[in-house]
Amino acid sequence: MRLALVTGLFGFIPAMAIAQPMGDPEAGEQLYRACATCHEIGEGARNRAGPHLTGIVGRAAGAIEGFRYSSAIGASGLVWDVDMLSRYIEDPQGTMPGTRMAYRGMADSQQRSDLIAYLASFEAEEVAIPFELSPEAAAVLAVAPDMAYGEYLSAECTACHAAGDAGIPKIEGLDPELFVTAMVEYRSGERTHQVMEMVSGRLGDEEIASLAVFFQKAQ
Amino acid sequence: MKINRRSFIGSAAAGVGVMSAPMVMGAAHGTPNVVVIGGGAGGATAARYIARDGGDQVNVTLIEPTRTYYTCFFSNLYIGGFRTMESLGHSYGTLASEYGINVVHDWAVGVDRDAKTVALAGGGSVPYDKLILSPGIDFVDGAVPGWDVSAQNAMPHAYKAGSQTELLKAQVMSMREGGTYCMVAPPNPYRCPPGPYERVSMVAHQLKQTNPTAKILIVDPKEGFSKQGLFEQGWERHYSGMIERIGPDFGGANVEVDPAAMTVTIDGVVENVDVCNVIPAQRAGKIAHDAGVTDGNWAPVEAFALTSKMDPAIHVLGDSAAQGDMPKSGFSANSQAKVCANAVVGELTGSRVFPARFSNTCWSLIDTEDGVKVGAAYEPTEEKIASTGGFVSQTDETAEVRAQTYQESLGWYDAIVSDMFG
Ligand SMILES: Cc1cc2nc3c(=O)[nH]c(=O)nc-3n(C[C@H](O)[C@H](O)[C@H](O)COP(=O)(O)OP(=O)(O)OC[C@H]3O[C@@H](n4cnc5c(N)ncnc54)[C@H](O)[C@@H]3O)c2cc1C
Ligand code: HEC
Ligand code: HEC
Repeated sequence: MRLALVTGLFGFIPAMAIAQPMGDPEAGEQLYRACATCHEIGEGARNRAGPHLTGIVGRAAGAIEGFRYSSAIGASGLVWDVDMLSRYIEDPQGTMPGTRMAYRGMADSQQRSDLIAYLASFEAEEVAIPFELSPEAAAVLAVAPDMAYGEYLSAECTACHAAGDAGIPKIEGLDPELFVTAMVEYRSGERTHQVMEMVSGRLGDEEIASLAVFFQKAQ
Repeated sequence: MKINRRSFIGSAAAGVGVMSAPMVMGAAHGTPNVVVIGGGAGGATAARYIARDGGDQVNVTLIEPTRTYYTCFFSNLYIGGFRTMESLGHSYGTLASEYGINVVHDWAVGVDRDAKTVALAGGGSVPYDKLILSPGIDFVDGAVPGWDVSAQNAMPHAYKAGSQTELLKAQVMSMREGGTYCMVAPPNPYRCPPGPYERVSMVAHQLKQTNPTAKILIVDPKEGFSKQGLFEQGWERHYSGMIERIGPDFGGANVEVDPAAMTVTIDGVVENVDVCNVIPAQRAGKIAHDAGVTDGNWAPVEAFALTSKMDPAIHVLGDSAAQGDMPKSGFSANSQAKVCANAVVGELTGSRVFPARFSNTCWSLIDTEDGVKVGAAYEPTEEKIASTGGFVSQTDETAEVRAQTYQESLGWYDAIVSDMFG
């Protein structure tokens, strides 16, 4: 059992698993009025008719302790990424049949993007949560890294991953456990992303291990 | 690494190189020289990686006439109003100052393969042990009857970025109300397979706002094109009724232009147009032909280190190379350059050479935050660089996925230009 510092309350969500919403948070603040009757958001937000929405982007569904969810939400097992949120807000009953949220839905996709951008501006506090390294990731971490090989392989990655963090997550300095976990999840398809599934799909354990150590040191 | 390592190790390193790797090429006559012709996607990357990994054991000279390289990638976004021209310009300062590359702003006008020297337009010549050619494309003479480079102001190609791109955009923006923008699309193979269709999308995006009754006509010699389903769905969704494409079945391969009269003749039928973007058939940059390393329009290379099939001391990268399955893209040129750099440094200094691996991903923007992508991985075989599989965005993705894809393309642009220019 290890501890990793991530945002979110339950379940392990690597830093960029959550697509960044594209929208105008200021426009979203106006739109939030439609939600404010039932949901508080921000520091010290409490549950009302609905659960508080602080840190909702990237939060597991049904995660707020002490709020009585319907089983539609409570037992869904999903994570509120941008896409899922958008679909739920567009059509709550159609997306999650049986949900108790008595809200009609928001048809305009630009408005939903704006609203989600506003929701995303309230981050959950960072909490240390237990996270179990998968056997696949542990096996990769047990392989002796080859730094020179890692440096060579990294040239493929630096076509997309820069020192900055805009659009594509920064991987320099990433903790090897998180790095390896992300890579083996892409490789197995557990975490989906067209590019990263292709990239990881042709990397063996030694290659991932070498990359992980190279990027950890590259800063 | 970089400047301090170079200045600290000093000349002692050359001696160590000779002692520890006696079989290494070039060691016999001092520090080996690598000359790179063309400071674009392929050439800048190759120069940077060879200088970085070769350290003091290799001299790198980069020959490039322009002081600012404007990327073709994202130049369509400039036309669409999503980027400024300045944001596409990159200079060679970092390559010179941090990597110690000898940047020569001049044209290479000839290659003497026996003497192993490159002649410069400004006089003088540069000796090489290894020559890397990445001169991009030139146009095939007579490919579109009626058009030649002297007509590029009346009918711009905008397929080398910079003033041509600015000219085309200005013509689009000042087109008469309800006028026709015509694109004469190129036959395969050409630089950036989705490029013409991303351009059409960006022109449509502008016209929709400023000139909504305008029409776009694509005259295309090809049956199909890259990401066709995605583009056509996007055009229907965003620019319904504006864009018409005439494929080869309806005369798209039988086209002639008259730049003075501003007409395009398609299968004998004369059309008056207001803006005409002629993207002719392409071939390797002229210097590759002058160097005698081409066969037909392109320069054949083997797949493991992009070594010319005509001359083992020459590598050809990027658009000019006939390498197999990789599309002619900036991403491909960058990917090939890194494999080539590893092999060249290995040969010159005895450092480790790793197995070649290539990949490519090309993003295109259809409308605001409606981004799509296509990509593949490649591996070298005896015969060619061969595709091992890839992916493409799907039609009917949600707006969020498309917006995310567009965001990725922005991240990619920043990353790849710093991978090229430091
Ligand atoms: C509209 C458009 C959109 C595109 N979009 C994308 C995209 O989204 N993604 C992508 O990956 N690719 C894209 N591309 C393709 C990409 O720009 C090219 O594939 C890439 O630039 C090829 O790299 P290169 O090194 O072969 O040539 P270039 O980048 O063209 O570099 C060639 C360089 O050589 C120099 N040169 C030529 N002759 C000589 C000489 N005799 N002496 C010295 N120097 C010389 C030139 O000045 C130039 O700087 C796009 C292209 C276009 C036109
Ligand atoms: C009439 C009250 C009401 C309104 C208005 C309302 N909600 Fe809800 N919301 C709820 C309730 C009740 C739940 C719990 C649903 C369940 O358990 O099925 C909920 C659940 C949610 C959840 C899931 C939370 C979690 O912890 O899994 C999200 C996300 C959400 N709402 C977003 C919104 C947004 C955004 C708006 C405004 C567009 C909105 N809601 C408007 C009552 C409301
Ligand atoms: C074509 C562009 C591209 C290339 C090349 C690429 N990546 Fe990625 N990478 C991405 C994108 C986009 C994401 C975000 C994916 C997501 O949302 O899950 C990502 C995500 C990741 C993550 C997860 C980061 C996090 O914070 O969760 C890791 C780790 C990673 N990449 C490693 C690599 C490595 C190692 C390579 C080279 C072997 C590489 N990538 C090559 C585009 C690329």
